[in-house]
This record gives sequence, structure tokens and C-alpha cells, in this order.
Amino acid sequence: MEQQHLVDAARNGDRDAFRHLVEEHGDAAFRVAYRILGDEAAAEDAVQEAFLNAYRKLASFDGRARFSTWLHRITINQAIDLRRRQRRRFETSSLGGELDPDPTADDPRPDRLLAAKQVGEATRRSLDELTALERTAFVLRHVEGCSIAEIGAVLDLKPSATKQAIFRAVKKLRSALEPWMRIRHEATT
Amino acid sequence: MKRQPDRNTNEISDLELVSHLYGDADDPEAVEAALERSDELRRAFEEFHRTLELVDSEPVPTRPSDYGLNLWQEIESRLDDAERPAPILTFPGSKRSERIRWFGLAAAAVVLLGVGFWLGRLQTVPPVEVPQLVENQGGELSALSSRARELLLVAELSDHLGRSERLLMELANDIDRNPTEAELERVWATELLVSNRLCRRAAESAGQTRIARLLTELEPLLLELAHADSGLSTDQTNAERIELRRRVDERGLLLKVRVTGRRLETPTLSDSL
Repeated sequence: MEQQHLVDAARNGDRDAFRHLVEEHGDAAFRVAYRILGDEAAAEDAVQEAFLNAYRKLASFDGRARFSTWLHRITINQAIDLRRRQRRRFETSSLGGELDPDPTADDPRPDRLLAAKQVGEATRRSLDELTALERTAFVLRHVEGCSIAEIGAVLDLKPSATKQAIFRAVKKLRSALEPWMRIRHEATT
Repeated sequence: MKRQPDRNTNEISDLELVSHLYGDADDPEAVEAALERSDELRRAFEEFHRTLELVDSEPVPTRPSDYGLNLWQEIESRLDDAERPAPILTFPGSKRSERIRWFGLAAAAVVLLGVGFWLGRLQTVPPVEVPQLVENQGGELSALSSRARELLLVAELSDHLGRSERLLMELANDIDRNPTEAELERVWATELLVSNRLCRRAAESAGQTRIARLLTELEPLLLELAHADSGLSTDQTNAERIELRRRVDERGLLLKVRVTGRRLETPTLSDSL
């Protein structure tokens, strides 16, 4: 069945149609959530909540964007909410380990700092600092490869404004990740 | 050597470089040619490229093939709880339902269709013609209704700017937001975003560039507020609002909205727009 037909049917209470949508888009939603959360179990939780939210909001889906783009936007918000809650718990817990506050400091094992997990966490922290619009536009473009037109449709932005939002996000990420880039550059030269 | 922000010697902006990285540049050949010519530009391009590579350096684990099915099984039992009617939202200072407000907006849209006519008319028809029409017995009624319509239209634009001003003032003076207030503000901003676009289109079609420019400046801010995340922590909310406030201050947006709104409220000034 076509996407729009599935969405229409799901909106009219056809659970089988919604099941199709869940099965078809679950993987991609997980990828989006994982990029923000960096934890499999948390990403799966976020995806579940995102689909439940999408189900509640189906009536507001106007079809201007693809269903997947619209769903990913909901997933991003859900993952961000979950991440904030986790961080609040993390920060109030004495058990919470922190990233090295100064990645440029002398370290006998620079490979530790270059570990993908740490860079991933640094990226997620950088994403935390973006505005909601920048973060959503960036994740949709960079992680899911949505077109400028699709992102513009789901965020109600003109193409130029969409590009600006992505650009601002990349610029902020470049600034935030600069210490890690320097270390990686030094390690490889 | 440190590059100038967002600009380089080839007149290719950083925005164009990032767009080119994603294959979204308006003129990819021009960017390619500029990259050929300039080492500095290539370094900047590679720096953006490395940043995005770094973002991708952590692999995303793949899901088992039955993930979709398992996901559905987790969700299915919760769908009954998820089903609920769309909430009726109220706006700050108003007990009217969202539906009523949106009906009002639809009505405003119809009214605003005439804004272009009215704004254009201000440019081409001297004010003295209004009494002349009133004196014309056959056209008396239409002349009066035309004037009444003008007043209504001024009121509509003025109301929009007044509400925008109040939103900007809240942003300027009140940083702390609890979740309920934040949700109301998002709804409020969404409503203003719609009326802002209607007003802007009307102003553009009438060639009223000053008003259109102001509304264009206002739009990204309304967009940010309308799309703000739900469930923000207080710190995150404050940080985002401080950034937005900085942008408002930087552009003197509150003052511009206020001055334009006052001009519309003052008949002599509104006639001379």
C-alpha cells in the first residue's frame, strides 16, 4: 500500500496500517534516536515513544513532508527529551563519569580520547547546544539524508532558511568539536 | 591564518561551502571553481568535511531483522492509552479555544486579502479623495464602508504588531518559563507566525517594503519560538531564550515593531505609510 494510503488508513483507526508504518520506519527512527542518545536501550525507548506520539498526532500530519521526515522530527524531539532527563539524573548522581574536560591536555593515551564513543558523546553534547530548529534540520539532513525541500516542508521553512539552519548547526559543531579534530589530526600526522 | 567568518577571498561564503558539502549549493560549479583557485577555501572546505566525518565516526548499531515486529508488539498494547482527542489549547490572556482563534485567523486571512488593496491605495490615492467620495450621493455607502474597511485592516496589522510586541517583551523581560508557560508560548508564536506570513505577503504585494522587511525579520524568531522543544530543562530553556533575546536586541527588533505599530495606530501617520 502507498505511504499516504497507509497514513490515511491509520488515521482512520486501521491498526494494521499503522503496524506497516512501524515496521517500515522503525530502523530509520532508531538510527536517528541513537545519534542523539548514543545508547541502544535508550534509543529503542525513544523510538517507541516517538511512534506513540506520532499515532496521537496523525491527524495533524498534512502530507506536505514525507511521513518518514515527519516521524523523524518527532523522534528527534523525543530523543532530546529523553537525553535531557538522563543527563539530569546523570549530573545529580555521584556515579556519573564525565568526559575529559580538556581533551587537549597531555594524555599518555591519545587513542582513548579518539575513541569513537567519546567523540560520539562530544557530538551529542554539541547537538544539545543547538537550537531546536538547527538540531532538527541538521539531523534530518545529515543523519537521514532528507532533501532541503523535505526538511523545509516539515519545519515550514523556505529553502534558504533551511540551509541557514543546517549551516548554523555545522558551524557550531565545528567550533565544539575543534579540540577533537586537532587531536585526531595530530594523531594521524 | 584565521579566516574571516562566513566570508572568504573568493566571495564563496561558508554557507555555500556547507551547502556544497551536502550537494545543496545553488551554483556547485562556481563553488568547485573557487575551490580550485583558493588554498584557503579548500582548507575551510576540508575543515567542514572533517567535522562531519567526526560526527559520523561513531557507528550506529544495526537492529535485528525482526526489530520492526518487536517494536510493534511493544507499541500495540499501548495504543489504546495513546488514543485521545486533540487537546483544546488556550492562549495567554484569552479563554477562547484554539479552534476559535484559528477561525479568527481564517477570517483575518480574508480581511488581509484586502490589505494589499488598501496599502496600494495609500500609495496611489491622495487622502483628500475620501471626503470627495463621501460627498458623492451615489457612492456614499461604498465610500464609508471602504473607509471602515481600511480602519479594520489597519487594526488587523496593528493588532498583529501589538501581539508580536508583547511576545518580544516577554522574551526580553521574562527568562524563566515553566513547561506550561513554554507550551502556551509555542502555541502563541505559531499563531503569530501564520498571521505574520499573511501580513507579509499582503505588504509585499502592495510594494510596502518597509513593513514587509520588518515582518521578514520577525519571522525567523517566531519560527524558533514556535518550534521550541517541549520538555526543556530550565537551563536549556534559559539558554535558548537568552540567545533569541540577543538576536532581538542586536537587530533592535522590539523597537522596530513598537514604532511601526504606533505609526499604524496614529491615523495621520498610518495614512502616510
